[in-house]
Amino acid sequence: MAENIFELTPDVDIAEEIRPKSFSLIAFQQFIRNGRALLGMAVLLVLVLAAIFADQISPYDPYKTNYANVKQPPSGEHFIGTDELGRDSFSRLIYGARVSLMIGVLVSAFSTTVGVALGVVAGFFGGTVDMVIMRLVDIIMSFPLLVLAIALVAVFGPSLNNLMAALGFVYWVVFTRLVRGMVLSLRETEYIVGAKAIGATDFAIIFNHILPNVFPVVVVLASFSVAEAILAAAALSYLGLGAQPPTAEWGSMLSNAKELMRILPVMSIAPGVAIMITVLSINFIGDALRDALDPTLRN
Amino acid sequence: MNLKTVLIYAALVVVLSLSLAPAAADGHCPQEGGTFTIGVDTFLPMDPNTAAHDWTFYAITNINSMLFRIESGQPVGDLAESWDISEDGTVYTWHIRPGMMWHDGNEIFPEGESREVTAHDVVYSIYRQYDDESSIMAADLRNLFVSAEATDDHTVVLTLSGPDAIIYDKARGLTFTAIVAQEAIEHYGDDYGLNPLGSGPFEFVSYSPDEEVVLRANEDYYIDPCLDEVIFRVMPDVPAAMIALEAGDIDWWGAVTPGDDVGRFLDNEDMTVINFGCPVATRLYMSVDKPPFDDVRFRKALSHMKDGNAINAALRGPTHVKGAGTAGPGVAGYVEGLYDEYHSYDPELAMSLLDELGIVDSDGDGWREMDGELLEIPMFAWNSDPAPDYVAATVDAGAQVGLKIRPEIADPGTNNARRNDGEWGIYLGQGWCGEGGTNALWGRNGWISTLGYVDEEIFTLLDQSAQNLDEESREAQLQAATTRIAAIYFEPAFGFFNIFTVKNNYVKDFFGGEWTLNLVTDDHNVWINEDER
Amino acid sequence: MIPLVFGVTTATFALIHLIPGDPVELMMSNARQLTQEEIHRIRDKLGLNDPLPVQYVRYLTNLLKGDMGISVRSRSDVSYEIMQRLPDTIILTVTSICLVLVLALPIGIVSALKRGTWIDTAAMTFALFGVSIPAFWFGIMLMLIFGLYLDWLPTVGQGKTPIEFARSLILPSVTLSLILLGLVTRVARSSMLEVLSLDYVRTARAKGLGAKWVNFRHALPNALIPILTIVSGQFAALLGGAVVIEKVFGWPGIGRLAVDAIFARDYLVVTNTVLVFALMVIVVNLATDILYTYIDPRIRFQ
Repeated sequence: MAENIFELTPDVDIAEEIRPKSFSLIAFQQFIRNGRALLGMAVLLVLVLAAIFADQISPYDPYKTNYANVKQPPSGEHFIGTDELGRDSFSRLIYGARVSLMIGVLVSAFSTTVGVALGVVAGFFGGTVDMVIMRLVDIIMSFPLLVLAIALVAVFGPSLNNLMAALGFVYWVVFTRLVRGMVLSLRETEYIVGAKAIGATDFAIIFNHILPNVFPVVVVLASFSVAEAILAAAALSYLGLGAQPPTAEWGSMLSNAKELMRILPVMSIAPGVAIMITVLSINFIGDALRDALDPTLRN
Repeated sequence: MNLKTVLIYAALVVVLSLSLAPAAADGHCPQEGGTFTIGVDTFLPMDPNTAAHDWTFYAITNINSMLFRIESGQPVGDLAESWDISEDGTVYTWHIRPGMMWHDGNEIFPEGESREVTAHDVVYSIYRQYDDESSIMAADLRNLFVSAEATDDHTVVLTLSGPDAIIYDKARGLTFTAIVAQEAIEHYGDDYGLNPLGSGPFEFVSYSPDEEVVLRANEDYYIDPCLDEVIFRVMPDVPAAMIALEAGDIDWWGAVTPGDDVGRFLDNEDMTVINFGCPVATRLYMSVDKPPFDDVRFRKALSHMKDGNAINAALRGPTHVKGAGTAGPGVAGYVEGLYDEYHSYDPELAMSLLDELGIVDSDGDGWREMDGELLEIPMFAWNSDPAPDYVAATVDAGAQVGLKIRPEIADPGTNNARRNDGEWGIYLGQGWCGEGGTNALWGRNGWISTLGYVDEEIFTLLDQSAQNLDEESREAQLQAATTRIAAIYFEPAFGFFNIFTVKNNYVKDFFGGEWTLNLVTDDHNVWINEDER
Repeated sequence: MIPLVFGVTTATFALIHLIPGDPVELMMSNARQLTQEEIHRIRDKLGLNDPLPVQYVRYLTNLLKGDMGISVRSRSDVSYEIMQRLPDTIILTVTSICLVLVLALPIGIVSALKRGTWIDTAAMTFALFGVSIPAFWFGIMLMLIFGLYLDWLPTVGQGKTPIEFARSLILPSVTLSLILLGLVTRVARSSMLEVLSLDYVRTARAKGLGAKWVNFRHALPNALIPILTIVSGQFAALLGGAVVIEKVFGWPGIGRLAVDAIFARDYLVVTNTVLVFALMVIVVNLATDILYTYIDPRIRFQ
């Protein structure tokens, strides 16, 4: 079995090809030449700005109920109508960007940190530590990840924090497997063997030689995991395991809208499209990063 | 009378006669054959001892005969042609219809080798439920049960230790004692629920879990069913089911229809919306044995701080019914005007009540404190629509009067567990249908007793009414219970909602809306008009 | 493998019992309103009042005898519940995988061959669209469009005749295939690119073999290996996706059974379903290893 599920095949070549300055430079040039990546960056920038300045730009308070004005169709006053409690759906959509982006970034940050750390430890030190970590990885990987996440959220009770914790717990294994595989092959390379021979500490080897080499691959995977986390969070929220009301969150907005689908389809379409655009722009970026950072694909 | 009025009346007469004309009371079907596909959201194996789910009972009540069915809220004969009740209401004598045969052409009874259903089968079925401690025979009945005897092949005498006023009740009466064949139970053992066998209008054909149950007409039934086939199709996702209903993939949605869809189907001339006739209340329960909930003024404040009626109307759409109390309009024990008396929207009053209790905002952060500490109340609810919306609305209303409410939504299991632990906080809750429901909720050992809802006077009133066969004084006892519950518990109410089911109009002579699903009775015989499909 | 299976079942058993809630209470519905006393009686009969270690040992000993126990919710054998639904899930996932391969391979290969052209850009953008759509949402949109507005396909459930069955399989499998489509298209493209740049393919071309011949005879089999790897690697993810899709489309599979059982606290059903999931993943991985050797005889078991 190949170790990683993503296509970046970690092998010795990477280590040999990486010559720091020129590599980053070429990668950067390649990245900014990618039209989709720039588009993704632009859209993401807009979303991030919307999330940061939600208080300033949203036309209404996203939590303000108005029972005299519920389930309104789109109009000049309410761009995408109002929901079942008379709250302005557009304002909720803007605030939703905040929550979704936060979920994506935090889950990805958590699983990257934990996953890389454990992967390096397992791969570099081997032995019992490796065995324990990899058995845990195997067990987690035998679950359909969504089922495990559902069970975990059910144990701790649905909330935004628990949702993120559950997703983080489920996703780190992907990084660990990948990084461990890379470290295993890096460990045997001449310059690491050499570094050991001249008495470099493990700590120094990890920080000076291993981490810089796994970094490009991890960055790519991390960017995809942001996208995946947002999608998974939406699915869990759709099942009623997401943020607590009245939090404006895209997945729970979709879940709320499903009963109104036939009367107010825009309530279902808008959050769905918002999720799609966000995830798509992140994927554009991740894709371009992969093209730029993966030497095997370079011309 | 002007022309317009005349026209409207004329149209009404035409519509009425059209809708009544095809009724097949004489056993003649306007159109024979056809498949009736019923959409339900869950379905479980069909053993009456264990099946706890409503829609499963829809199938059981067509496969098995019951002693009686419920039609328009009244008991009508089924396996029992008629019955007498002794003066004191403790002895029921059931007269079994002769010539009712067990379904044949199966593992137990090969084609043409069936036998008649007798009084002994009825006695066997009753004891099977009674002897199985874990069967879902209602405690009310179990506690009164003395004996069941077959005095001859067609007479069953059921003796109780006291009168049972809710023996006909949908939720907790004898309706759930489906008559089963001993041969089938012994042959299949624990797998009986997968191979049910009865003497009802439809025979069991096949069961695929989470998918469908197929029944076909029983030609030996004492009325010839117009339908050939009945299919129960399991559809866990309600919005998807609504699409299926509209697309004609199912003919009747037999479970609760969301309010907004009801509104849409009311405007759809191809669909008929059927009222189940049992409004369900949405209200707040709380741990009434713990401060500050133990003070009625606090409960009053919670009630008056929110515009319950407006919230309920927004969330329930056309199924909304204004009102409060343990019983809804049309249900025994209903008291009018409770909403206006106890739950009207009055945030000023709510604030002054809180001030009076010493729950005030002394540090000026906009939130009230109790004993010098921020009062943050968890609000527990389950996680399916529209519960989270009620929570959002309550949190919002609390904020208006400076009361901090923290939403705690979880799946139903976790939510129940919190209630069973009597966790401190407020709970979104629903009432239960019918008198049996009132008993199971507020009565001794009731569903919410763990939260401290324990009042001897209410228990006594409910116990008495459950054994009172005199309609009038029973109604008075139930109303007294409703009033006392409202006055001492002050359970903050939003309002009621009606349970509606929806059918396509090509399903004829079908009235739905009962716990026993009546497809073939003396007065109705459901048929499908294939030309309209 | 056995320690893994043991670890998975133990972890699941512990996890599901950590969730607060009572299965008997959850069986209750409007029709059957149980009091606390009635609930306790039923729990006793089902052995739910026993201490957890006792229940766990009972579960394990029964499992070794081939008995998965009884479902609290349906009171029938768990093995029956699972076997009734397993074929449906297999049909759904296998159809989705086939759909993915049928769509992703040509798209990926063509965009590799036409690298840098607008075809490549369009194909890759399409692939990314696929992985960016919430699948459950896409499913409902498909249902609205093809089931209701156009009325071409059944919305939910399963058809009974083979043709109806195939028709009812279309929407759920298309929705499910979306989860993998983008990823596999990408892999198909990049592994094709990689293979095309290899020496022996270049040599074949230099020898004057026709470009088409080279692509199919030499390049394709080698490009298949990473694709196989990713499909089998993502099999668990596909099962996870099936959970939500089965729910939306009323497809009677084990994914839906698992989630329903989690919410119903149907302990033995959850534990055993996860066990079956784990076994399926193991089987798929083994099958992949065998397939490798067929595609590329140089790969041998070690």
